[in-house]
Amino acid sequence: MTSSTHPHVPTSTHPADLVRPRSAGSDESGRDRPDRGDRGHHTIAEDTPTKRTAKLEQRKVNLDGFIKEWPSMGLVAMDSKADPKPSVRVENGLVVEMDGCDRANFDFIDQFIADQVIDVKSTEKAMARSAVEIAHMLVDPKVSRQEVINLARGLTPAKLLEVAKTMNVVEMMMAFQKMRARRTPANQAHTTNRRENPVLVAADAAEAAMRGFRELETTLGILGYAPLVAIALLVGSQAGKGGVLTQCALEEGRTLDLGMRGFTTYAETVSVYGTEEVFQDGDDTPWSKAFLASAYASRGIKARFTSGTGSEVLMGHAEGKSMLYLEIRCILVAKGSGVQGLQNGSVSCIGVSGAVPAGLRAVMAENMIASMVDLECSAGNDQAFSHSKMRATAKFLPQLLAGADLVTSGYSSVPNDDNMFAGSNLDVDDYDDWNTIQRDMQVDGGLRHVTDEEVRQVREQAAHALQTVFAGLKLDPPVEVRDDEIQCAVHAYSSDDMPARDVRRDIEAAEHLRLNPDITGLDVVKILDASDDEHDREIAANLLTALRQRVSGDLLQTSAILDPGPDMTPRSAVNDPNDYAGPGTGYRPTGQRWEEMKKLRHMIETHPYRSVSGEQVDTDLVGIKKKEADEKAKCRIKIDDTGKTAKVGETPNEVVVALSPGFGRFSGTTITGEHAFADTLVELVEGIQENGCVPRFIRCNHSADVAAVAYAAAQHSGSGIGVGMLSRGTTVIHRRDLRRLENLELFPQAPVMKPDTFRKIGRNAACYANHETPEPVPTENNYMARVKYQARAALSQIKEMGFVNKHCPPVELDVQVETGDGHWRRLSPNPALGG
Amino acid sequence: MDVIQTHVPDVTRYDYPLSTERPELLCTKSGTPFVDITMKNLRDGRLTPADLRISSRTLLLQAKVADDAGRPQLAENLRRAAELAEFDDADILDFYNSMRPSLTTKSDMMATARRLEEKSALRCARLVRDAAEVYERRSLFKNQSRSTDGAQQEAGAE
Repeated sequence: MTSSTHPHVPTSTHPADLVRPRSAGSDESGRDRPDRGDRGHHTIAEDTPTKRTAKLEQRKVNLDGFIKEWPSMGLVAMDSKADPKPSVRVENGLVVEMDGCDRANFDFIDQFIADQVIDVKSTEKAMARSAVEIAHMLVDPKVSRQEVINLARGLTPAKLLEVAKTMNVVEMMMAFQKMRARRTPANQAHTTNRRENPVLVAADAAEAAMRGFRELETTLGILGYAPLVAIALLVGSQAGKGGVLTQCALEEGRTLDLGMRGFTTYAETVSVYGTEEVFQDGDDTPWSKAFLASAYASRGIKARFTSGTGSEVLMGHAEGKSMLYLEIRCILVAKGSGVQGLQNGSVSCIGVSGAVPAGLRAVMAENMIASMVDLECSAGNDQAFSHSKMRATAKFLPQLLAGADLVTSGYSSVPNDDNMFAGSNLDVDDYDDWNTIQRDMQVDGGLRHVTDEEVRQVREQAAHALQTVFAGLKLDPPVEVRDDEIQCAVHAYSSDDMPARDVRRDIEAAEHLRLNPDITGLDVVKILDASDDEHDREIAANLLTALRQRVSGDLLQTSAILDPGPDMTPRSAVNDPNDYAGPGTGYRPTGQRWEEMKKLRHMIETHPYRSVSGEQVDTDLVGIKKKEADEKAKCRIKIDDTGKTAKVGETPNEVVVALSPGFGRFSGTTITGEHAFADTLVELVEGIQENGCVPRFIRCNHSADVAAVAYAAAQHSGSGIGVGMLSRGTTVIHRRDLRRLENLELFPQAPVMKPDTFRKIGRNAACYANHETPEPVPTENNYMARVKYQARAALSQIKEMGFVNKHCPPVELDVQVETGDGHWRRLSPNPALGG
Repeated sequence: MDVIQTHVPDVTRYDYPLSTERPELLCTKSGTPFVDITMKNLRDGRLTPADLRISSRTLLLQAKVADDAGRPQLAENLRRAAELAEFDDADILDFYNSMRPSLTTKSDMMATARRLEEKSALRCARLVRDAAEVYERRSLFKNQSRSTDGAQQEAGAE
């Protein structure tokens, strides 16, 4: 998160203002279908947009800001005429020319890069390689990460730009997959709220930690609240398994103070820029930033810098250079300062990078180049970016799929309305989507599904611990966490759900805390350790382990995080270096982590009667509902397999209904659980009877394929017309003289079939039997039914297959149903009586 | 070259994490051994806020790990951090402010460099002097005449 300025940015006239649907009544919602009956009766003005355009106008992506390139102002992603051409010259161990500029004319960024980054021993040789050759090295898994890093030590900003310009996004992802510093990916969250409520921060931090985030950052609207909120974040982050790093983004002095006192463990507030002017606007230089990097390290605080494409244009000093060229200078300034890592990927300027052509390609390129020079890369995706969910997803996919040290540098662990970093690309509402995508692709975005029970427990523990800490700190004036606040924090969605606090009192207490430097993280540990509550004491132990890590310095190595668990072992690019070298190598989610990733909120229960102890049993809500409906529906139907081989009928007005092998044996309803067989079969039978035909039921035993079932029905029917039905509801009308895979009417979408549909099927079957040609039964097209039910259809078919007996011919059935008023009704003449 | 560094044992990237692989080498700024940071000692009042401060020696060990892992700039940063670990928080904020262009003069920066050198923070002092040279060449000092005075004083001092 940069502390950026937000000058007015000119945007083009919104396209929605240019084209508006003319006919007001036509399509206000965008969902109404045109009235077929009226078609052709209106005269339509020539300039009326098509209904499709009108619909497109309402797509949310058109609310985003897009802008034409304007290279002389720097509004261009990665290709400006003013971008320098690569060159380097070394004399007496000094870079005397870089990217077409003599040393005497170096601006301070050039000089910092030339002196602190460019390796004078290797640069001339490295620069002699072509951009394409270097890009090939980046992409080729057979060229090791180390080999690329060694080469990159000698590359100038203009050369790195040339390399990126030869690459498409997929090649950049290949490169990023190999070049990221840490082998195991991780993720970071924003934990803030609009009302700065510390109790909620503690609870949200605890939930975020449990969901898998390895770093949490907060910031505030009211600066004075900072010490209390920082402590809340710290305490919450160590609930459960702990081991999460935290930071509080404020101005440098206060950030440093909170860190020095052990209330935070990392910092990413230090921003760097790609032009001298913008650097000076912030009253800094690469040297002052390098000094800050050392200052943070001198207190054991992990630090990373922040930069991103677009910041220089926003500040009005891009010097006509492309956004990516300027960002590469930022990346190299970070490298030269000696800081271990960088948060980039446009970050808070994504609205600018995202507005120009190829902007997101440039954003991927900046992540890739940060990793190419061996920096930890916290990869952006941390700002509300698009009104379109599709575009927002496209934004994060490259980083998620390739894997990143931190896939987002701030996933909102609170609703975006409560996000004081101005909203993130992802928030709490997206947790299940994120977990599903991880599982779909088998890629690790650092999160996992957690049950509501776990969430409630850990939120309660965190809020309670904060109560203990506030009481124990003896602040002046005293502040407390009330029991009702804890209860609200446990169940809250957002800060709207929290009772009001005495904010003025809190701020006075926070000021008291700030002015008493003797109060440190150790006091928080002591207070929690002395508590009667065992969870408080657990948090105390976690907190002390985390505080110890700051004095070990292990978090200062590149891309360091702490593993969750009692030991909180540091994991960084030193002991977990990325070893990707092509297929079959590098990090892949396997073992315990993959098992964890497989779990989602709702899963279809494959073995509903076999409950595994300790597993959640209430996750498949649709399945449970259907199971209950099945039990009830089964009591309303009796299907007697008479044992008599089905005969071939002789009456010409007979329609044979063949049921599948498992019909009525494992379920009592069609696939949705909403329609009992007793009802669907009655409708079908009455439909047949309405048109003067007589139904007869048989069971097909040799196949569970709907075509084969219907084919068998037709072969046994006196009229030659048969209806075949599967348990899930799939139905076919067949005729004796057609081939098996042909049919008269096919109803493949079981989920959309209602009892009334079966009545119509019955009527039509009878029509065919009477040698009439009916209008086909209209079917509803619900294209989402497949998404929801196809896996269930597979399960139903697996069960159906269990009843197949290839050598058993069809048998006569006696079907009776209970009609709802306690009376039983036989649906066809009793085969026991018939001839 | 640095006196302080000659006392630091050699470690490599294979000794990382030092907290689990070589805890016996680590101590806090107040001299408390790393392994003594325990809940028992905290309860017994044997830990103080100074035990939350990382020591120069630990930072130099980490610098060696960074060097061995092939990260010279990070190692250099950690060596500068080892020097700054000897200074108070207020001093550090002072030094930083003296490097911010609009607030500083060349003489301020030279004074900072000397204060750093007095406590053998030679790498940090070098950073400040290099910066001052560039600030002057790029005319970043808002009051170049005062900075000229500073340069003369500095020349005299040397």
